Amino acid sequence: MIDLVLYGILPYLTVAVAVVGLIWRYVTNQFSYSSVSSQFLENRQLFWGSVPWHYGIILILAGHLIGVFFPRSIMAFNGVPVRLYILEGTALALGLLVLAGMVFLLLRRGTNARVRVVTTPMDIVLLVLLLLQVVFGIGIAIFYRWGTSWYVQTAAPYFWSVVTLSPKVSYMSSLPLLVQLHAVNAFILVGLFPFTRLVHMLSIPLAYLWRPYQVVMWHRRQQRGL
Amino acid sequence: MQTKLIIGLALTLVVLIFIPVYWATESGRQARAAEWIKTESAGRGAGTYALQCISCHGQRAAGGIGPALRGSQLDDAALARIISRGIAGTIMPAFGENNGGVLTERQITDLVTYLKNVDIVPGDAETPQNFIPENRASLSDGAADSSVGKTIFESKCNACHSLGGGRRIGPDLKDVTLKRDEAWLLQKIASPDKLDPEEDAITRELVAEYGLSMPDLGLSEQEAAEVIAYIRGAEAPPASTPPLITTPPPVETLPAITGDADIGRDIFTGKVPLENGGGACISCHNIAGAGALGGGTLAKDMTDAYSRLGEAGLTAIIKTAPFPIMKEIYGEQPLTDAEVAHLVVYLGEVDRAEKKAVGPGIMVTVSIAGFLVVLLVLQFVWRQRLGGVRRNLVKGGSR
Amino acid sequence: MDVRAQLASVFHLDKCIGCHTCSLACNNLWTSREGTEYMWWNNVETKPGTGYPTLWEDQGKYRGGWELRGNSLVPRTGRRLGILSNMFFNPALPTMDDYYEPWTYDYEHLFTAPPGDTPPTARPVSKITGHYLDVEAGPNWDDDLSGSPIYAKNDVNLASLTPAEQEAMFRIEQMVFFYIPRICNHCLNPACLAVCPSGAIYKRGEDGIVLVNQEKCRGWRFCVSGCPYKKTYYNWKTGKAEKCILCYPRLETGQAPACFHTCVGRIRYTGLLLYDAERIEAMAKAPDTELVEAQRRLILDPADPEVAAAARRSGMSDEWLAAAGSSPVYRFVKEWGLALPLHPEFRTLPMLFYVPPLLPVAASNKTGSYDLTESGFFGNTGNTRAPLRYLSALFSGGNTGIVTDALARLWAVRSYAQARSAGNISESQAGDLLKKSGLTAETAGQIAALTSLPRFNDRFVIPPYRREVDIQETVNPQKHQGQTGFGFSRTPGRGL
Repeated sequence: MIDLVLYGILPYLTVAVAVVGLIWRYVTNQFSYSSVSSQFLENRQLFWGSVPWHYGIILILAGHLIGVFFPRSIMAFNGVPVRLYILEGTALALGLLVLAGMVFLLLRRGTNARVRVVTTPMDIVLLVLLLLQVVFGIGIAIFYRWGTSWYVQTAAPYFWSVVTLSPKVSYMSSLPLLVQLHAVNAFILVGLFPFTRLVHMLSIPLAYLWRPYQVVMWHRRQQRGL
Repeated sequence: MQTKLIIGLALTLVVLIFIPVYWATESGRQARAAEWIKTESAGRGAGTYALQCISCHGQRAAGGIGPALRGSQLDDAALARIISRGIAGTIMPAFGENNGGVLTERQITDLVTYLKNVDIVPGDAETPQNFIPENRASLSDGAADSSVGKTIFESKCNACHSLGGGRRIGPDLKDVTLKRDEAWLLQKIASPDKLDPEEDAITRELVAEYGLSMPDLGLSEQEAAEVIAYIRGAEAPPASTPPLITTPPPVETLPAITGDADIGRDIFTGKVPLENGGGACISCHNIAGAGALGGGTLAKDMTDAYSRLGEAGLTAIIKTAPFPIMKEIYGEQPLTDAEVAHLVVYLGEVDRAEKKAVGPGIMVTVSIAGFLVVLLVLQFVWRQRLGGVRRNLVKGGSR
Repeated sequence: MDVRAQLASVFHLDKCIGCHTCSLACNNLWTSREGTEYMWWNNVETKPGTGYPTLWEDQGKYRGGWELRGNSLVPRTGRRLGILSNMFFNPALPTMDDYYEPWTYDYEHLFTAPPGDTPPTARPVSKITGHYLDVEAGPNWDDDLSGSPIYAKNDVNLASLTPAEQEAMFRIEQMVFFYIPRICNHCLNPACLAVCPSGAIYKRGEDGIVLVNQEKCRGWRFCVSGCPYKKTYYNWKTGKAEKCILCYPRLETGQAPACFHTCVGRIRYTGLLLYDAERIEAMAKAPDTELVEAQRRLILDPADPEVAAAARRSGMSDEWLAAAGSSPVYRFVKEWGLALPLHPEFRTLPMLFYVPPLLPVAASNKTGSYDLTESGFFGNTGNTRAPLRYLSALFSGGNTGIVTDALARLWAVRSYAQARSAGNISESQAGDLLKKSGLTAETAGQIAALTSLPRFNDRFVIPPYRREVDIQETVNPQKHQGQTGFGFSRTPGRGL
């Protein structure tokens, strides 16, 4: 029963909350969509927190997605042990990078008086949850190693079963506790998404790559570039 | 505006939650519908069976002049083909309309459904006609059928348990019905997960002795009863229940394949992908000698599996994949017989070779080194970053 | 030809007395909120000095503005991909310490202190953290050359001077300084806008004011680095960028921006400039020393019938054309060549021009009259105590000729006015100077009139915006019923 709630209902619930929450927040309070950066108040510690964290987590998330979308490729790649070890080593190194980044960020939030002023309780909750997520992930990599290989055989089909609206709960419920914690915590993070600073992820300004440098707006005329 | 928006969003939320809940129960609904269709079909098949087949194949397809058909290893298409065309050179005639018989295709389909699901049809659906096979008397009782139990035992239990052949992965089950209470046995076979070693003293003892608890093999209570009936039958001297007509031994579907250790190694490490798409063994299992840093640690170390489980045990476990995660991965994408054979030979070879285990130490060390290198790279790439202008200036720093 | 209008400004530096009234007016109106206390959309700096934020002119550090790479104009902050890859940590972002940490005083203590031997003091308290604070910087920390061994000595513009010249400049008896009030330049080629990944910053087509859309801003902070003048600021509370809005709500109701309006020395002028938008890029690519000329060429003569026709074609009303025709800024910048852009070498084509200071005020009067001979105290503008090369580093991208010309004209006008009003300079002397600087007596009179005691309407020629007409003409006014005007219907907060 608990498995059904955690893996059959929770993912839908959190995604629903995330989608509705994001729309609600965007429509009623677009102003609050911001990176809410505190670099202006403190930038020495931030470098060692933000840069390792962001670059690490982007690569790690991309890895999780590749596993879900191209499981065969991962299996083929891991077919040679040396390649498997390289992939795992890279993943673990990135995990450590992310861990270090998050520890730095949390310490900075706690110790710098100026940064504390702009820290909300939700920021702390989020950072702690993310730290836990990273610790779970690293724990899995060390104690249940070669996750890159078994992930595509368990979590990936589970993901697709959820996407196709027929969740196969047993995929997750039969995995070790640490893996389950990692998964459930991920769902919680998805559900919290709209209520935290995480919304800045939706603001990744890719359109900037194509935009002309100058933007001119006309009060009466149609908008056009310079 | 605000109220409308909130109502709209609330409705969306309701819909978004309703869909998955509906879908979560949908599979159950579909299963019930399929079950109903199956029951109906099997009921019709039982009628046909009673008219056409019961004379040779015995009541409830338990065997008579012809072989026992319940629990047949043949697939639906093969069964239907045999019923329709008969078997040349035997007394099995062709029943299909197309082959001069009396059964329509629909009837044959129903018949096959029945044969595959004898137990879902109540016993009295088969009205014996004018012929009652003599060997009926040899059946131990109507509820549990030991010949079915034998089939189940051989496909599911044999890997780990023997009947008088001594200890394998699990205990020898000879005389187990005398040693253990029947209700306990039934539960142990049908739903072993429910016997918590914390609570059940016998299970605790067994786990302590054998090092692992019995996995759930997905047997129903009925099947468990049949297995118990078989075990009980096997305990009695074989002479006491001589079948009047010797039933042929269960068809050996495993053609003898000689495994190759090198291929087995490649299958284990994933160099040769599994035919049905399952993941390579190395993902979860560690083993000596495969790859510099060993295999995964999600599941058991396979280095001494051969001596622990034996060839038969290994073969059965790899084929049936009874353990929780294995069941998920290989349940729908099982290994082929050839793959199993190669793996077993490989495991045997590893077991005989010199063993050394690889811990996580090397990987962690290498990763920490990689992590430090990345930090250096970050420092190098962003060495020009601004670290405060005014304070440096006032301190007389560089300008 | 794509003719557009720009509301541009001129600050006459000879008239600035450094009273900071403009800064306070702006601060009272716009930046007295939490998160903006440290922002001075208008600030007044002492030159030589390092300004606010410290060393803002040093683009080796802050990497603002544009640079010419080959034949393409690239933001010094980075190309598009470079900027996206620096989003998690902007390596060229000044921190609050490079501006100053805003503070107030613990006045409460004066009332609640227990009786004692010494009178209680009100210690400074940070407006950010609320903790006691050791004040180490302020918005005008180096005002009037205070702390000059650190601040003035490190002025970036001194780099072009020889060590001897630098030493001479700081000799006590020769010390020279002037004030330079700064607001957003509302550039034609704004770099803050170009590096904004969110596309939140935009230039208004009608009057060229550069604004930040607070709803679209996502706080990536590149505008702060991108602006070479450091006139875009980061609101640490809301996580959004804010900058001078040229008081557009005032402009749209016909009032001059607050800092212009309150200026005690009447140093500020505002009015329209017409320019050709198609040639912006070509002009911004001119060599450093020709940038001032290029910028002047970009500005079009509203009296030219061709320009007027093109302006009408692009939708400009006759009223705006007329306003452009009587713009004091056009006079100062193009007709008289007196007003120069600040740091044109940043290549943003700033639309705020400065009349360079004619330093010092001719005060040495030992012989009873001013010595105006070539070898005299002030006959040669090259001998002004603010070295020409220093001024040209500020106002002409190193082109001393342009500064010399402007100073010569200023001096000629001053002599002309002296000759007429005080009579301590002979008409012929003044006439010679006028001739040398290429001015007619009539022009000199106009310049003198517009510089000495200009009236409100002479200084500020604000075109009629008629926003209310726009709304009624183009959209259903019912749609705007119940709206609260500009601003927020809720208190802008940080995140959720």
